[in-house]
Amino acid sequence: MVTPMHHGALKRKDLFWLALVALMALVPAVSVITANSFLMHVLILILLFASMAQAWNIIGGYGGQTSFGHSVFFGIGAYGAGMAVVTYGLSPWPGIGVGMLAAAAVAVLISYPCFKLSGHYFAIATFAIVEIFNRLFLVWYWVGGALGLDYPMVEEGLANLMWYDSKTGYYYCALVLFALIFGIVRFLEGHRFGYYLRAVREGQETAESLGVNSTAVKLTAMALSAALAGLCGAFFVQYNLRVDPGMVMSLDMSMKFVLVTILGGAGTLAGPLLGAAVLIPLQEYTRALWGGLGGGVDLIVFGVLIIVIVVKQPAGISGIVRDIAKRFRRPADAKGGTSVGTA
Amino acid sequence: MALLEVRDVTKKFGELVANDRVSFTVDAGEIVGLIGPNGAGKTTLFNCVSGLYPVTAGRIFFGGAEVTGLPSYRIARMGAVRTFQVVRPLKDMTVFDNVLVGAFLHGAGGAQAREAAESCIELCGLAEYADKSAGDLPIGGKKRLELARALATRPKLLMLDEVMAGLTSTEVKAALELIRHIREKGITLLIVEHVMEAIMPIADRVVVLDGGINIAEGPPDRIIDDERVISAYLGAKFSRRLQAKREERTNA
Amino acid sequence: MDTLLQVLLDGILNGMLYALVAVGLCLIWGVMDVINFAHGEYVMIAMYVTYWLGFLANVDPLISMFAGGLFIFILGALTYRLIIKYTIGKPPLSALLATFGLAMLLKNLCLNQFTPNFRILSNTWLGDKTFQLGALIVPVPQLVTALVALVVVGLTFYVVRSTRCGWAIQATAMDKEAAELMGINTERIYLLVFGIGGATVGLAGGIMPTYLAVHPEVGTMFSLIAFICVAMGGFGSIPGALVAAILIGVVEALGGYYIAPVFKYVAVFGLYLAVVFLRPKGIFGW
Repeated sequence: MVTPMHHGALKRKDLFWLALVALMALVPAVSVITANSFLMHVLILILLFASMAQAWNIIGGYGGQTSFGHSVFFGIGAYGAGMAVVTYGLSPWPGIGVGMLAAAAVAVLISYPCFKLSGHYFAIATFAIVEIFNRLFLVWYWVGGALGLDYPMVEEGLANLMWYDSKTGYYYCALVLFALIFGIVRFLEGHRFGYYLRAVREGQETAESLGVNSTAVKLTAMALSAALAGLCGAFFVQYNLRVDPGMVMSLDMSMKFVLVTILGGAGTLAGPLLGAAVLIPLQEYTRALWGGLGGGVDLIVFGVLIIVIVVKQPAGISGIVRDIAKRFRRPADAKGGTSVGTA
Repeated sequence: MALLEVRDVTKKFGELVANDRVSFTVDAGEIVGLIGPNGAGKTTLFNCVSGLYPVTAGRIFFGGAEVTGLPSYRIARMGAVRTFQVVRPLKDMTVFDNVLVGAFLHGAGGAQAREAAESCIELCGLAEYADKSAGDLPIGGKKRLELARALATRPKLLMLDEVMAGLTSTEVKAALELIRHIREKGITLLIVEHVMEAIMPIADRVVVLDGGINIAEGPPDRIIDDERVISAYLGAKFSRRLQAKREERTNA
Repeated sequence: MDTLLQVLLDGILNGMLYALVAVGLCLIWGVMDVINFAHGEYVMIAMYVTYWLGFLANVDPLISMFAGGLFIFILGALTYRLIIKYTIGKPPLSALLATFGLAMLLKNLCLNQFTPNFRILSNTWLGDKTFQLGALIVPVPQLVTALVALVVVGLTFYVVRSTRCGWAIQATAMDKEAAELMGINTERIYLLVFGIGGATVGLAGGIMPTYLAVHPEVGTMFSLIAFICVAMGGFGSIPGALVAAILIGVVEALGGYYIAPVFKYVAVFGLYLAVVFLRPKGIFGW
């Protein structure tokens, strides 16, 4: 997790990321892939979950505040877009804007008192908030209550963020979402806010003794993280064509935010992508293969995997990759190596 | 006008009085030492001045403006920056990044801050460790990191809390050089110290705390002879014996 | 007025059940600073133990609950040995996520083996029996459960407070290294604590099929409520967990009856937030 950040400007690893995004942009040109609807679906989900995890990473990984409440922000974003389309017959875009702002506002309002809580008290408070919002949305008539919102047929295209025949439009949207969120986090990493955020994580009092307003930093990180989670939620509802409280505002969804990031490697730029790239195909393919075997075999495998990774390598997949890279680079002094990994 | 004025500061923890109406000033350009036996309240005073603790009574002024009760980040931004006695490196960040966090206080522009960080790292002899994780440094390195990081904030007043503790005598000499150099750059220093050979040679004035009270103040050579100070450190009996021996010699 | 008393009675009895479930977690959290996400799943598994014993061998839950307790004692000890032990030095999130994985594993194992069907034990000794106390109807299974809870919580509190073993546990909780220097085998203490924590939860789950339906999803809510009880009561405080549990039972009952059933949990979780915002370390926390 220790990476040298001397030269704020473009570095070798940035070129790697740009190349990756360019490569991914070429995927829809490969007809073998686009013909396989399930594969496209998996790729879209990978990009979506990587984006969600990266949004969480801002406050959870870099900020060190483990929030289990992100499904609330995801849900607010989803409902924002959904309400615009279903309840008001508009294009989703204004709803997306409102949803993101609302998510950020809710995040600041609830985390301000929550930040006074330490450790497990904080984590449990975030569970409590998810459950409260879940129940509230279940009974709230305006947002559709327990039935949620079902999308009507609308005109295809970017204006409505809707495509019916092929998944290519969604794929590009997901790619843009991914590039946007990863780009934001990469930017923050190299600039003052990113340093202040990590300093607060490493030692709040120490950071304050160096002039860092830790409360402002944490709240800003939370607001940004929530707004981006909301944006992901908006994409989700446009892709899924329906939303209800159980689907988005649930503890399970919150855990997905946390798990993908932690298993991938919290506090690193690549972690969210690594986590999504490993977990989503695992989830989707085990469900396709074994989901029919009578409940939960895929989740049994998932559960075991979580236990193994968390116990063996708390730094996640990114930690595993780093260890392997270290061993290849300097087999002689792999133990006492002075090189610091890049990711 | 003094750069730092501590006026009748009292700090209580429940019934325990850690600082009892302590008053002193620090003028710009000075090196003031804050000494006293263990438990005298030196670090507590530091914590009050830097805003980590709220004072029970009394007022604190920095650069003429009142800072009593301000949060510690505000005081740091005004130019009064402290180091911690038990070092607090930001463990999962590199040495360079640690210092950079300090440098960003007065150089929001990345390039400017990075230059400042690099020069502070050079100054404190940490260049070879720049890319290493701060948590992996040896204790001497961690102390220098604490100093470099505080320096990078371009403070007007630098408050050092027992930087010499645990250093070898070579390291102490190097640290003294560094402190003199810092003063030459125009930074005022308030230094809590236990190691007498480290503080007496460089301090312009020394303030002595004992049991939470300011018992003596003055230039180092006068303080050494002050019987209250000797009594505080070595006990009243020894002080009396010393006093008696001195009188013998002058009478002889 | 009678309705209010009835609602309060139901709330208190329910709260006692929560206390029985929570006391094990309180012990685990207090000693090891670990939140066991699979706590509710322990309840669920114990429920299945007594259910199957009742269904297949006609053993009443009042007897087989001890089997439940024993089973989960072993499961708890295994959880510690195979999983928790490795998360002790690591960031606090590790234990939580690892036990989340365990919860997922256990829940889906039961889902897979036992199907999601709700199962109810009929013909238990206590099932459906009630008696009149003035204008109140007192349900016997819940009352017996409450009494069992009182005994178990009291016993646990007594053991921790007043026995040598309990002092060893307290010492380990306060300072693991210092305890080791005093000759306490902290490894064994941790194993024991996870076992005992499991056993109490096993008793809880064991007696529940008397009046509650068994199914694989039943654990999740118990986990959350156990967390709330323990956190609201305060880190490491058994009396705190008891008080919090009863409060939660009452608030849940009142909220469910006077506002709407769906608001039961809004009230409960809202109560938690209200308490910790006022007292960030819980009611009796240190």
